[in-house]
Amino acid sequence: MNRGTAAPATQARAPTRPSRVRSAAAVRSRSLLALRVAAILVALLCWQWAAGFAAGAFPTASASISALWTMAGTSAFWTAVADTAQSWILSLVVAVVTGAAIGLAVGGSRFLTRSTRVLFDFMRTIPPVALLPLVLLELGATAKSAFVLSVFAAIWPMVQQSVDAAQQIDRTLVDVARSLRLGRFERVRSVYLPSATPFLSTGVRVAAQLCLFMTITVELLGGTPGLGTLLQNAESANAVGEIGGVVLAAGLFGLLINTVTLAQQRRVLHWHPSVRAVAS
Amino acid sequence: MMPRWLRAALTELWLPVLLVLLWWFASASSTSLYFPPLHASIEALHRDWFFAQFKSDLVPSLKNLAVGYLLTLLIAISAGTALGLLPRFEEVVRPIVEFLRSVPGITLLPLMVVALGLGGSMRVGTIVIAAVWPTLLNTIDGVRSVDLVVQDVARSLRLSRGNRLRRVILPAAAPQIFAGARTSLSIAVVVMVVTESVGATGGIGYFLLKAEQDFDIASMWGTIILLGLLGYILNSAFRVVEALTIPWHRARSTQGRKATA
Amino acid sequence: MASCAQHAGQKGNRVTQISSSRDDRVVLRAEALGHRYGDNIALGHIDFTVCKGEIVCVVGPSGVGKTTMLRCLAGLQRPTSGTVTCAGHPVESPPKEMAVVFQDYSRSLMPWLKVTANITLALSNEKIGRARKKEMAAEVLATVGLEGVGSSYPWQLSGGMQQRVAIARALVGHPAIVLMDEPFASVDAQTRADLEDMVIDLRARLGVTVLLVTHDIDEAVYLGDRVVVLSGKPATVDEIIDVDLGEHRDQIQTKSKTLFADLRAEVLELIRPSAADGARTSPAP
Repeated sequence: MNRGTAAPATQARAPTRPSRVRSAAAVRSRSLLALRVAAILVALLCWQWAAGFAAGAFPTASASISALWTMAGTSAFWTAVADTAQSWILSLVVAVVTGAAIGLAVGGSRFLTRSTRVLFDFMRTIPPVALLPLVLLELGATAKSAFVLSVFAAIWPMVQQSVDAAQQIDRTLVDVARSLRLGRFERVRSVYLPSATPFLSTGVRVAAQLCLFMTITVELLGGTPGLGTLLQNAESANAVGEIGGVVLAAGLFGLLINTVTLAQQRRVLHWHPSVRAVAS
Repeated sequence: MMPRWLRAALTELWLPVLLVLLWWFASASSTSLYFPPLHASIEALHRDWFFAQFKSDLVPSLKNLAVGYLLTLLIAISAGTALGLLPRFEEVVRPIVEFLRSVPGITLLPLMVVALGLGGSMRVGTIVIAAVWPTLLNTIDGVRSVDLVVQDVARSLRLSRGNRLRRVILPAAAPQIFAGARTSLSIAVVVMVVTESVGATGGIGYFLLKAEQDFDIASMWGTIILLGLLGYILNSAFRVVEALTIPWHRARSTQGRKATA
Repeated sequence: MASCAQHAGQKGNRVTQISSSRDDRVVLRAEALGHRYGDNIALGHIDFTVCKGEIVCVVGPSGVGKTTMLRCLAGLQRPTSGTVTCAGHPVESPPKEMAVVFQDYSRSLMPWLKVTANITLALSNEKIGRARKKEMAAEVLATVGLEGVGSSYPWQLSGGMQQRVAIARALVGHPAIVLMDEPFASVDAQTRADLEDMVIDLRARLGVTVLLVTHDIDEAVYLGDRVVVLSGKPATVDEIIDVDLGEHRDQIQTKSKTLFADLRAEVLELIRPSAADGARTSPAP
């Protein structure tokens, strides 16, 4: 007399919240928003107050914001933004794809990982700015210089992350893949690559920031057209407010990049414990 | 059979050694302006840095780096811990932190010059402002995500707040803090070099710039090699410190070859 | 029940298995299986067979080497000595006729794939159309009592359900033998009882052959037709005990039989001689 096979199959559904809980959450997020706005205002006031000590040499919050506002009305500004953005996205894509390919290939073999560790460490710590004058000499103050240096800067962390990604694969997953006798393509597609995604997406985020950093650096120190050049011009003209304005613009651009890459990461990693726990 | 340490050393070194040799021989007869023979660069490296410029340029740079980096860690870990322990406050200020972190550090350079002049404090200040973010964010994350079970254990052992922090929360967050600190180190080195290319009178970055202006390409390459070596040494030192401070993390996360029954 | 292994002598319930004859009913055979890591001998000399339709349980204390043995049997590891044969062929890599259920379902099911996709992954080498694969997945899900769960993610399900998915994945390819590595160690007692009964039911309905590794003596005696007791350092087969409790088992009835208690005590005695004294006072039915 067996007790039978199974417990009744339950439909797995995400629990829905009762409406009063939903509206409580909405109230909370509204008050959070209000608090955040208040915090930002406080921060701006602090900035304004602190800048006052520099007697006009340091941009105040008000000067910066108004300068930014003015600039946003000029086409020169938006051309510069587009220049920076173009350089940034191009170098990011190349750095990420190449870095991931190299890193994943190396990371798959313990021997290769250990053989290349010294090399990658070394390359990663060469400050790309050290190569800036050399690159400028060769390629001039063009977008190419920014591209080359940004790729160089961003590729090594991406390689490192990819190596880590390949190395950290849960041994159980490797066993499962082998005991299911998955072919190489299937193994990579269904097991290794998804398992590596958390690391890879962090690598992409880091690479995105580095590419922006390097692009603007080359523009600032080398004269390649873009936001960095705007900053340089403002500096030479001693237009204090504009300096602040460009810094704000660069910050906003960076913020946009960070927000977008983070949102993308959450989307791709919807299954990862760190992301799905938020939902439950 | 070969002792383990020897085998490990050979595995790690064969490729770099091979590449250096290739570089050496490939560039030996080079007459290119931008890619002088390796031996010329090595000579420059030796001549310049060991030990002529050692005192006047290397030490001041390293001093700024050390001060800047330690200050960075101090600020990042204390602020990060505070924010990690006050999640609601952290939530409110998060947009500000996110914005500040997103500003590409390089754009702050002109501002730092205005605020702090052209001396050591500007360099230290810029290092701090650029390098603090990875460690700060990782500390917040690490402190916040300390395993709830571990926290419950600490509370049920009735540990004082200070003890809880010192002996439970910080050690638990340590791996993540270290990860952030490593990134901060790389940033600190980069920023150190960049700040020295602006109105400096000494330092590695200054020397690099001067070599380039004087078209002493061999010296330039020598300095680049120096920077690479410096970075490598710092990274290795970092690894050693990490292994000594949080030995349990390495052991736990390494996938042992022995199967547990 | 008929066993294809030869017996030699009998002492009470104890039978010592010696080498079994070449028999096409032998699905899995381990001969002089041993494994060492450098100087550390993890597995000594392991011999046993599993015949078609049998449930054989391997039991031993934690740390004795059960997982090492299972990995050698599953073709995930080459043993340093001895051989493993499955369906007549030597095992050098995971064989087609074998499926494995791992202990930690949260790590063996792909969290980025839905349940159906997890199961059809086992069919990726088969030249079957996608629609048919999905059908097969749905069928096997129904077999383990999980109709309609196919479009959920594993982590949306309870632990017991996740392990059923893992079992379903093992069954979908109609393997000759299923190896299970402490499959119910991570679920609660109630769920464990249900899953144990499911294994018995699967054998009754589908004739599935199972080799189940466990540290739980009750489970080993309840489920097994034969219990292979591992102990010692290095791990060797102490005894192989025949379990004459019949093919139909019941959580309440079977476990209150005297024979069950006696077998249990026997196994316990082999594993922990000192603790067996306390277990000998078995309750009367």
